[in-house]
Amino acid sequence: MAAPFVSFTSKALGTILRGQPLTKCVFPKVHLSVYNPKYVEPVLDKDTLTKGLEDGDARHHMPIKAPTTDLSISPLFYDDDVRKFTNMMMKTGNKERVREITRKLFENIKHMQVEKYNKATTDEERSQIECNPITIFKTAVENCKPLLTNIRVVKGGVAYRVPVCARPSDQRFRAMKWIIESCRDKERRIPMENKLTWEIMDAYNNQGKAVRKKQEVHRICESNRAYAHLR
Amino acid sequence: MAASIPKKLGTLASRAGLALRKSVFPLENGSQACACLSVAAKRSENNQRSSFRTNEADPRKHTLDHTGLYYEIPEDEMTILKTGIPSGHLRLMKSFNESCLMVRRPALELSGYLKNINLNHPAPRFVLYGRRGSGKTITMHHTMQCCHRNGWIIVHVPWAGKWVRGWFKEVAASTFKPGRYDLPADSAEWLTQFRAQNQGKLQDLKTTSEYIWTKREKAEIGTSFEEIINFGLTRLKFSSDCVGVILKELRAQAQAKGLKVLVAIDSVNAFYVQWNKLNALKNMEKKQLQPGEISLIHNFKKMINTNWTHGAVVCAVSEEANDETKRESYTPIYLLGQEGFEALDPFVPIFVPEYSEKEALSNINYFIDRNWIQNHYGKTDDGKRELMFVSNKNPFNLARICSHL
Repeated sequence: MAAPFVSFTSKALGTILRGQPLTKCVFPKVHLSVYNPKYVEPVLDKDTLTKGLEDGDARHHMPIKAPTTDLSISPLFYDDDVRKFTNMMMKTGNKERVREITRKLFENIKHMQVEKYNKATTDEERSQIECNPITIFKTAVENCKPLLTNIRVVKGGVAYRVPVCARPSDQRFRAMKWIIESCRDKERRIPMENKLTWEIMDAYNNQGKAVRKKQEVHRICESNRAYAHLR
Repeated sequence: MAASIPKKLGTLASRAGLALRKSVFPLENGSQACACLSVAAKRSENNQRSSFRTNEADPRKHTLDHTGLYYEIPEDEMTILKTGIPSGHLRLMKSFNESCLMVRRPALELSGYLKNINLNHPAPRFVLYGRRGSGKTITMHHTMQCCHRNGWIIVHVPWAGKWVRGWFKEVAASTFKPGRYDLPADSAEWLTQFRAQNQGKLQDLKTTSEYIWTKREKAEIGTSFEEIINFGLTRLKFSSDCVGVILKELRAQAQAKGLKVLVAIDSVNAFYVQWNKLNALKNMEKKQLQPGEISLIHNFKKMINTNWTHGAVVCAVSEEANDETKRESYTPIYLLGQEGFEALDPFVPIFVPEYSEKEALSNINYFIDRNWIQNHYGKTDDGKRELMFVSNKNPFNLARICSHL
């Protein structure tokens, strides 16, 4: 009996929110999804799927998005950041190729680290070597994430670069984009996976082109901080 | 399961199997297990690695009890064995800081045959076949190591497919016989490899007939093999002929000198089946070469014949050596074609299967031990089962899937 009430309230709340814009939106939002905003993401957790949803869960009464082909419940082969990275690297829908590049990228990282690990003689040395390629990748992306970005605001016929806080999704997008672009700039004849390996290992150690790009953006924001009130 | 364990306790096999079972499906009450499993259980606890490793480094002493276990190859033997091992496998060995191979049933079967053959009979032929990536090449290397330790002379062709394809390869008309074509670079490569693989076994081998290269140059009777090889390497024009001379002399002298010659040819079907038009070797008139027209292949085909003794021929047929349109089946009769099958018949076929449950687990545990599988879920029992399911226990697929975890 509680559930219809919940959905009713959320509906009412939704209309109120949509009726009166309470906050001024900084970024123009474009709704590109084929789904109505009421649709929720599918569950990808294996345990939840086997157990089933709890009785009071609102998702019993909500429409769910159909999972796409690149989603998986296997913790072995699926990671959201890696999926995003693979898709961002893709050109003209050639997913098979970028998947292969990602696979080789992780293989390269692992070869580099595991070789060091197996050659290390003491346990102390070993404990300092990070071998997990996903962890290295995530740390590298984390190191490239900008805290601030610029937006263009026109006031009185003058365009200002106004520093604003970056949203988490935007941070992730920027970080990955810079890593990929810095590799695309390098020598063309070297395979992409090798260039990515170097770039990611650099970013993991807080070096490299992508990290410098982040610092540059931060510097611009710092110099434009006088315009911060314009947003 | 509980009833069968005490029965088999004495053997090493059950010890290994038990350790495997213990690691993957931990026994619920450890104290009870310790009480009844006495010595064997204690040993396996002391040495956790024994579930997928064996200390028996001598491949001659491997028995069926060792199947599915890894053994280490010493560094000096790796220089002999590493030609022909797939590059990905070598890279893994480098990263793991040790060279290990798994003992598998077909290799034991093959070395068992080789142990018991009568060398005075015409050279027997063995053909390894199996699906792609099931371990035919590694099986061959295991056997080669056995034979190397027993003092056999190894005539090894790492991948015969290399000799029938190529875009910018140098092809020269043979000086020995018109209508045949030499591959100077490949022949020289084979000569260096042959010299490296048989170090210390070629000193007292001398030629038994005279070979005239040109008007001024000739090899007298009693020239040592070393000199022939050196001549082939310095005068690349004659390197293919040098290969022919060495093979001929080996065949001729095997009986007289009591040599033991192992001929190991990977993807032998490249000798008989024509490679596709686009990538095949062409002569100076842009005419596509038949495999038989290439002097190297012509010489090695003679090694496969049964008209010599004191030797054994181990071949592998692989789908990769065939053109993409001819890869429907993995059986020798399909891959070799009419001509090849007739040339090799009769032979002993040896099927190289994909991993069994035990072998696949052993492989995964080895990867975990070497820190290769990093995913936490991959280290659990469910994860291992998933890996086995996804790779269908095919060794190549398993290694490929584990490469990015």
